[in-house]
Amino acid sequence: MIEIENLSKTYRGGVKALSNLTLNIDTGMFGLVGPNGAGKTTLMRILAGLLRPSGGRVTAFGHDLATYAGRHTVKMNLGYLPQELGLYPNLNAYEFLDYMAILKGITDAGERKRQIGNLLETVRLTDSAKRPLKTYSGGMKRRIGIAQALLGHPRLLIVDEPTAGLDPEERVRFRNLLADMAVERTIILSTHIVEDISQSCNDLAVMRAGTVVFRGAPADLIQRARGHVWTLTGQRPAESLTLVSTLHLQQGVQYRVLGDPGGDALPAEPTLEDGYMWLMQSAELSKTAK
Amino acid sequence: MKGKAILNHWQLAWRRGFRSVGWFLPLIGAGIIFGAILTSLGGFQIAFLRFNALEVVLPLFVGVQAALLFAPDDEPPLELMLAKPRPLPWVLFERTAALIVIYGLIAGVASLLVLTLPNAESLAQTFVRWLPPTIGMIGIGVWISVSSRKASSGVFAAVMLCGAMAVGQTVLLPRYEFMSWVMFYVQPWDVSAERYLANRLILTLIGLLTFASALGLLRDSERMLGTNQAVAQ
Amino acid sequence: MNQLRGIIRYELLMSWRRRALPMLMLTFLAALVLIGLMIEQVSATVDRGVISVQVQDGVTTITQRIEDGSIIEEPLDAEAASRLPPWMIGLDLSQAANTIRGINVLIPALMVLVVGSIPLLSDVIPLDRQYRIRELLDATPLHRSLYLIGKVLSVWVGLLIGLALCFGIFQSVLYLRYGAYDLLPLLLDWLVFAIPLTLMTSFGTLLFTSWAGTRRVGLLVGIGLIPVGVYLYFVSAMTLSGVGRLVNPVYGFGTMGASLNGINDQTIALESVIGMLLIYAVAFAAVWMFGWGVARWREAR
Repeated sequence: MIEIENLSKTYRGGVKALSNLTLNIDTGMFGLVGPNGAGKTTLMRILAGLLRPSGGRVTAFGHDLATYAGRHTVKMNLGYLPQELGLYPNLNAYEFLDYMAILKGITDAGERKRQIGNLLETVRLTDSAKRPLKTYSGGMKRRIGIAQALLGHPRLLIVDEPTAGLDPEERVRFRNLLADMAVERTIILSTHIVEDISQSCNDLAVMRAGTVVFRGAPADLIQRARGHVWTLTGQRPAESLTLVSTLHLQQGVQYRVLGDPGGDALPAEPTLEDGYMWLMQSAELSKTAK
Repeated sequence: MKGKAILNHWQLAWRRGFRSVGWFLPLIGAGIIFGAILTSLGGFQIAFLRFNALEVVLPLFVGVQAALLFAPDDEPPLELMLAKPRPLPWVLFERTAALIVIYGLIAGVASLLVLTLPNAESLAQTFVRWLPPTIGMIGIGVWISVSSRKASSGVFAAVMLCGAMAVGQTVLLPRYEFMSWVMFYVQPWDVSAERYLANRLILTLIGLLTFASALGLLRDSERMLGTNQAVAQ
Repeated sequence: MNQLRGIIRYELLMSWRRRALPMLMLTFLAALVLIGLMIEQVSATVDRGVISVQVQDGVTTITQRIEDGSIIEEPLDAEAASRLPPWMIGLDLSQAANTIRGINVLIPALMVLVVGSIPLLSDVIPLDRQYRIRELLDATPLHRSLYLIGKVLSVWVGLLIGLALCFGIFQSVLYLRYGAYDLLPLLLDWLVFAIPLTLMTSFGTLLFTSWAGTRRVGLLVGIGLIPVGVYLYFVSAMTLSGVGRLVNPVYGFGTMGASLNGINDQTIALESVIGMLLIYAVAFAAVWMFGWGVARWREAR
């Protein structure tokens, strides 16, 4: 259980990344979405004990992250995959995972070997385990990042854009893996790929400008867009409408829009992406109105 | 006309070039050189060395800076650079040009100052003293950094080479005369005039050849990306 | 301790694969050979002159090599014998000459090691940032001090292994080329002069470059540290390289070109060696505190 109360973070130079953010995250898979600069990475870094908040309070499993002891305890139970993953290019996959396992405090060599073997199998890199990481492709590096995050069976897993760079098959596999693990863990998944959230999370938060603008189930977010999603074929929609997709079909160009185009537009079944777009549009409108 | 067309086509990023040279090392180098000259120590003695400051300090600093100009592992946007229509060697050209402009300015002024000292040599002789080892060090510094992919190797080699040359000049040269072909700091009075000129020519050639070799390495984009050793799957 | 062992193990492996340590040690060996060649020339003077002085039944006998290379043995009169320094009696001066050769090669070669180690080690910590690995490391329960200690110790272990190998090769070559020598003074110079100097230089390099975000910046800082390393070298050479005098005054700081006739026969007190090593320890603590302070200050920002 993670409790965040009135969390704020202001960087040097006055850039405000988080402002008075309050959020409770339970066991299970929790999705975090939002536009670039919304404060997702800052929030994840605070939860991982990498950044100190400027104000507010964060506790994870009852441990206060403001204290060294609290951060240390959380880190002992943490699996973390940053957005910009760095690896040691001169080590091979096995050595890198072994090094990370040691740093995570897995002291028993046999246990490390067993875990690394299993994880390499899970991310399908057993055959390449002895190759230096500098020879790995982007997707392979990402999979090594996932494997290192899973070392030590962490109670809290924070993954930032985990599926970026993975092929569709690997993405689905990894999504399922996370969903399986979420039964007894807290997994915070930050992504721009809304489909990943809709397929695996039963709880999500949408962030915008350092605050949470939506909190609930994906179905609730989808519900918000109901009645506002339309498809148009032929003429290009007006500028006032939000264009979600453009599809070139044999009978002409089909547009999917948010808003109220009127005319011969047909209502469409909303998706999570529509819900997200509708929410962002509403937030922008209310900001302009203020 | 063709040259102008090329220049128009591939603009030189001068500002980036000068930034890669920076101000820190040139300032220190200039401080040492001018400090030595202005205190009327034209025949500046560093420990047991008999050479002037310009001849000793300039190749060392230029060599170190040349090593810092371009190393594939220390160039984050390398992949982007390789994807641009402008060939990668241009990056090295513009940075080396900036290096030559900055240190050329320091060396030029210092050479003129040296002329005002008592028992000064001619301007041409002064240039012959520092220019060939400097060209040699540019080539060697650049080549080692590019081929080893790491600037630290180039800097290490530049420092070691200059140190070895300085010590070897005094201690090894009297014993192994053949070394005068390649010694950086060989003095006109140590060897015959022909040998001295041959030494200067060889050093210049070493510099030009190693620089050309570095350019050749830069043209090999697979090598630059480091994918020539193993293929990613 | 497990974390520390892991860091040392993998950092060593990486520095081996980055070729930094092998390159440094090969350069050091090359310097030993090169300086050995240089010294051979000046050491020729050592081969001429006194080989040993023996006193038996009150008669002092001197054995020496004369100009044509032949060895002669002659008794000394009482007055000449009284002028001989007491340390000379009974010492195998040929063996001592070989030892001095070794010391004379080692001392300047260490300058190469000190100057060379600075650029090669200045990227050890900045590389973690350049590779963007720090975020991952910071998310582990690894304490920052432990991280820094691990980095320093890994470099130290690497250097110690390298120095031990170099010492082994060096003394074998010395023996094969010149014959018997006194191991103890050479070993003392290695232990009291070479190792603390190398460790201190590498430690300072690591700490002062630890704030740099890229290898290039680390290198620039490292270049700035070279004069400091050279200064440290000279201070150490002047104070610690004569530690062989603890064994016999003949093993004082033998400068290049020294002959047995001009040996400094001053003795050295054990206290002064300990004193210098203590200064090292204080400097070590000061650099550590400075480095730690900078790290905390950066963290606080």
